[in-house]
Amino acid sequence: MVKGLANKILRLDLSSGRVWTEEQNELFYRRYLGGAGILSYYLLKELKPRVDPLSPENVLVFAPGPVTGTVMPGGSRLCVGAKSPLSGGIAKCEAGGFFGYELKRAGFDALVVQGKADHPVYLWVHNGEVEIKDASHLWGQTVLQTQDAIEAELGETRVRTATIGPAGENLAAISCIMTDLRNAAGRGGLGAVMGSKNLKCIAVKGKTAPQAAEPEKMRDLARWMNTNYMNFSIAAGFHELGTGAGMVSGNAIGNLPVRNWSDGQFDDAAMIQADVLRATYRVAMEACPSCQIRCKKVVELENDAYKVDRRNGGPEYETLAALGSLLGINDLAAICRANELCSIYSLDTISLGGTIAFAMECFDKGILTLADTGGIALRFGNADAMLKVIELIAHRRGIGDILADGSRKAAERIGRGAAELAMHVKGVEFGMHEPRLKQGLGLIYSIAAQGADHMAGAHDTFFMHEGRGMESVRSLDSLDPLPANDLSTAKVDRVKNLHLLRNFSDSLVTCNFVPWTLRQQVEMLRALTGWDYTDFEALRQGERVATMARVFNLREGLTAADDQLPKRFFSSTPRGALKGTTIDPEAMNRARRTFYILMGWDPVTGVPTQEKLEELGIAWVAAEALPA
Amino acid sequence: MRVTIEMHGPLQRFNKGGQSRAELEVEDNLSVGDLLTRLGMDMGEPWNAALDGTLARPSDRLSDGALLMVFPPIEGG
Repeated sequence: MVKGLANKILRLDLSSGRVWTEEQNELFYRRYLGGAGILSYYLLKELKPRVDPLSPENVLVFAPGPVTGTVMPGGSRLCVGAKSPLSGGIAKCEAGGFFGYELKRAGFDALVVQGKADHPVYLWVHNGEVEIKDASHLWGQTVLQTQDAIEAELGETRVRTATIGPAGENLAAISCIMTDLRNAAGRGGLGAVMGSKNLKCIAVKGKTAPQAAEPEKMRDLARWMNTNYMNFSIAAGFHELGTGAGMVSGNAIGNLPVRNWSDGQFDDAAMIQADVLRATYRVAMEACPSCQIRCKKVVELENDAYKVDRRNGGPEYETLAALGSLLGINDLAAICRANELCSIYSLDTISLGGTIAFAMECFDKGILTLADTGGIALRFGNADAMLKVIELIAHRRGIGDILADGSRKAAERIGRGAAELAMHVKGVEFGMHEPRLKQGLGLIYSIAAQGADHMAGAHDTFFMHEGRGMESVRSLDSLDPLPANDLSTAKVDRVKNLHLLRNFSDSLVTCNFVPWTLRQQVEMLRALTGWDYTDFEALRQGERVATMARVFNLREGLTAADDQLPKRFFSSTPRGALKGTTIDPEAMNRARRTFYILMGWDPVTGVPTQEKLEELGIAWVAAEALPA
Repeated sequence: MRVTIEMHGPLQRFNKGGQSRAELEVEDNLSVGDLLTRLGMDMGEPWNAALDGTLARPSDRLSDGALLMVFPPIEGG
């Protein structure tokens, strides 16, 4: 038994209706921890190679981390993953809210779902009991309607949920899973995986707090953060405005994506800022359990055009950009409504924005016409068209059926040169940060197993000059400030180590917005488990998880050829701060090769060496996973 | 020479009176880092700056009529 953990993994086979629990030994937890580590383990172990991601054979994993469910600020999250219908590789993302916290307190370190129910069902997990219940009457309902119906049916309040809406039911590869109505396990099409299993919702209630080895040390750490977070300017900014305060400043340095990444300047950036939202439609800020930063915006509005229910949350930075500047849209009310549609239908706002931006550029260039769009003038800046297309995508009607599987697949269906306009890596649309500005991020966008995920690692602008940002990477032996567009070996080493750190944090699972250092994260794990855990072990664990994800992708047929940025990023924007700035393709190729070498992967194919797998204690993945 | 400085988000408090935008009279060739230090900004906090529309370094020199925007780095959300 490991202190601080539930020491049980809940297994569910929806095909047979079998529910069981599994116990793993202490070394299992020390090796994989939780979150991203546990989900990578189960995907490699339980999933047969090359299965259809929407078949019953896919495995869907919900994995809180060791610190989830404790008093630790930022310790309420969970990691969710499966084989991605969007990329064909691994889907892995984290979600906030109460669901992970409650799942851990219900007595489980993870929930692993396989098979497919013969009719729609939902899962009710409470007080150590698990029930599979009929959800036929909920199929077709929105996430919000489902929450209300399940609470009424169970006669319970404050039931924490992971739910899909119509987009997940309709197997849209850009659909997500919503936790507690307004948090998303967003990337990679996990909503479609849940829908393919006829699983509408997982409802959880738990009350057993994890018992730490050294509870006083845990409380001391939590107290320290709750006392000091306002001394960190970024955390203080999140407390005041949430995310999205940086639209104007991002526009000024070229970070803000504009019109499908084809332009470098959004003249209306000030209209979609978080402070404008605060002055208009924002009615509250909300927090995850145990966190005082409370970064989550809640919006409510009703005007002649739109009505938005506060229960569906509010747009984060990624959404303000993806459904704003990326589409040339400056109508904040429309963005709030679009965000609400994504919440109730379970759509990933990032991939949705990337896909609509692609379609708008196709329309601009005459590749799509009014005949294709059903009469919708799908032009940049047309908020009404955006809202109509979201409805079509969620319900797979008209042009929405083509766009529902993301920009890469839509381009394949449309043809006529559309592929040039699809901005993705491995089929996964980009996070809202310019790789021509942050070129280390560009590198990790291209290599990360889950595709173009902005949470996969380095944001170069944190480490350009002295200060706390630099101090945070000095603990990784990355000592010198480096320009944002640098792709030297020193930068690649930084990018690699931050990627490992992120994989460790995603296994722990901690929130990136709570300014924990590596040392503090290790301290909390030591206090929780009683292990003599070290910084070295943490980075090794991150390396293990990143390598397992790499192996998973190789097994599924992805290759080094999939580690590429779209051509557009190797040319300049026509205006804005990055006019005249490009990514040098040769420098990026060298950086990619260096990254492979530093990871112990083959410099050309990116296949991890046998020695590396043995060093990481995962030699078992080679026999069943790696190409001969 | 005169320069305009815009402070964004939590950094706004370092502008006189907590204003988001201020015009300042400063000596020629003052560096970005020196100006921010003079304003009392905690240089240990993560920050980025755009000087006349380009990502700036602490050593970059201001010129007459320059616009300097200062803000926390953006990572996601």
